[in-house]
Amino acid sequence: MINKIKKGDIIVFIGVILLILLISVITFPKSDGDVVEITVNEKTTTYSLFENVTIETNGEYNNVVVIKDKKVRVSDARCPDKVCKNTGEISKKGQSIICVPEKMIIKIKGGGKIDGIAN
Amino acid sequence: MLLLNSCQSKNEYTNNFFTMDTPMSITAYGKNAKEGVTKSISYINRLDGLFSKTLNQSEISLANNRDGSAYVFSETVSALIAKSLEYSKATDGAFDITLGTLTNLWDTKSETPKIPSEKDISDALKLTGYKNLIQDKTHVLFKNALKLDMGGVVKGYACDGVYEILSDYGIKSAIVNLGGNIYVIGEKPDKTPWNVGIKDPRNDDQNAIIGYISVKDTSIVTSGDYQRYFIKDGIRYHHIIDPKTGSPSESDLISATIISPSSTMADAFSTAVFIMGREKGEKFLKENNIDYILITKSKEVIVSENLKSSFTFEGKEKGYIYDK
Amino acid sequence: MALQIKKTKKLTLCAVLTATAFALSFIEGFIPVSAFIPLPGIKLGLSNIVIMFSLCYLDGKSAFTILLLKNILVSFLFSNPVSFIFSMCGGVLSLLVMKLMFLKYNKFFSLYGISICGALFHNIGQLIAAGFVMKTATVLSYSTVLLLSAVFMGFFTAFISSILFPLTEKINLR
Repeated sequence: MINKIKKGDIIVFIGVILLILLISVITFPKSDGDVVEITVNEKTTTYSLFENVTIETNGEYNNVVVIKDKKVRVSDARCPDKVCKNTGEISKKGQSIICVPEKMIIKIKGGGKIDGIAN
Repeated sequence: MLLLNSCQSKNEYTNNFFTMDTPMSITAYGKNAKEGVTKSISYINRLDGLFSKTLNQSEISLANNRDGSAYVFSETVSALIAKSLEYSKATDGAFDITLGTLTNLWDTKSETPKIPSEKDISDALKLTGYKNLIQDKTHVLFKNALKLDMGGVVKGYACDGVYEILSDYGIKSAIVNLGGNIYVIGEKPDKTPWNVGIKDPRNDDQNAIIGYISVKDTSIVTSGDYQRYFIKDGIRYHHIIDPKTGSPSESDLISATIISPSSTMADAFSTAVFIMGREKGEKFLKENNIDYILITKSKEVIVSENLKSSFTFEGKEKGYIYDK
Repeated sequence: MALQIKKTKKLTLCAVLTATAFALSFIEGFIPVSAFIPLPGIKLGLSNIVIMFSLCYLDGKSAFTILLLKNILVSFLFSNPVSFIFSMCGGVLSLLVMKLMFLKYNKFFSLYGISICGALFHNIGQLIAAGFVMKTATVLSYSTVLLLSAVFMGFFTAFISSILFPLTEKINLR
């Protein structure tokens, strides 16, 4: 009888399910580099890079920061120079978006390849 | 909203802050990291109170609005004036802290920047010149109505000060970023050198770089035409004023980076070399045995001989040319 | 004389099976799996039916030859040499595991267990190859999806095989 499920099949099935659960637990987002730090006027708030959230910065110009699909960008810049918006999306550890008029620093925490940019 | 406790390594401390109209950040590792960084920030704030051109009560503002031709400075300020005059002599006036009247005229920070008239520029030029400053310790004699602008050297000076403070606190690993002036102390906690990116001068993305250098215990300072500028009729007017012409420098460089353990010197010389241009600048730096990375208008990247082994070029796709 | 006929028969069978595997891979491209599961890189793995059949009724060597020929044909006709390396990494690993499991066929494992493991190790092999090419561990976060899909696809191919294989036994193949 070919069709009949055997003992080994059940062991295989259970094993696979356990393996999948194990990998899900290991790869669950928790590492240091997945934290987004937003500093406005010396006040720092941290977010997870894995959440989808829209943040109003509540500084002088009240810019809008969007964290979505593991990317961070300034979606609406009311500041005069719009440098922060022009920077576009950041997603790698160590990258940052800075808005001088708003006194805002957005940074993805953790050691990326580049530790700082001479500017 | 999910708030995460940043579970960073035990002895790491970072602070991001705004002073001197620019974003700053200090990350230090070690037992006294927090105390060292906190102390450094109050030190930088104190310097801002002395050197700021925008604060009315700063020593520089008070000196610029002086009655008469002499002014007595504090020791900190006079020490930096003395150093600046040294750098002015060394660079044959390419670096100059007496351009206050000109930088007020070319207000590149303004929301509605204007191009000054030629007469305004030539009038302002008469009120400049480091040779018109005569210093005797804390006493400074002004030979004309010149105004000081120490913006080209104060961030570097602050970097050196922070280095001293952190060292006093026994910190052996730190990265100091004062508005793009970088000082790396020791190595990273994992015993590898720090990677410091060199900004891509022709990309608005703040994270865009043309490459990076792997270094330890040194300062990296860049001057470029992209930092503060406005474009009118297709011409880029940036914030680095050539003391000879009184207008934004028109050399063949778009970015000049100096790598030196003295951040004050790196700050002054990066400005000076940017103004001197490639040929004169490279000759000057070679004579003084200083490391550099220059980027020309034709997007050529020039790296000093000593630095080549620690430089990683990443600008090929962006149109930069680097010939090892 | 009888031996020669047997050899010719085997050769012909291998050729037919290679053609079948190739055809199934080709047809598979027209089945819009992504319409049901909106993820890239997910395939039914229909040609695994042929590989399992070869392991079941022929031998490991023939199964490997069929796999190699099929992958050469598919990669060089429809895609590129890189995908050939990927397919072979997955295919060979899958083949080895299934070969071992067939030793206990009908005693400890049925087609279902073998097929699921085959699909599973096919995907694992590809993930390892991807890890080497991309030089990162980020592929790992994608692995749960691939592994889970392997279970479903393996089950599906086992279901088809369990209907087809008894039918072929009526024909004298060997």
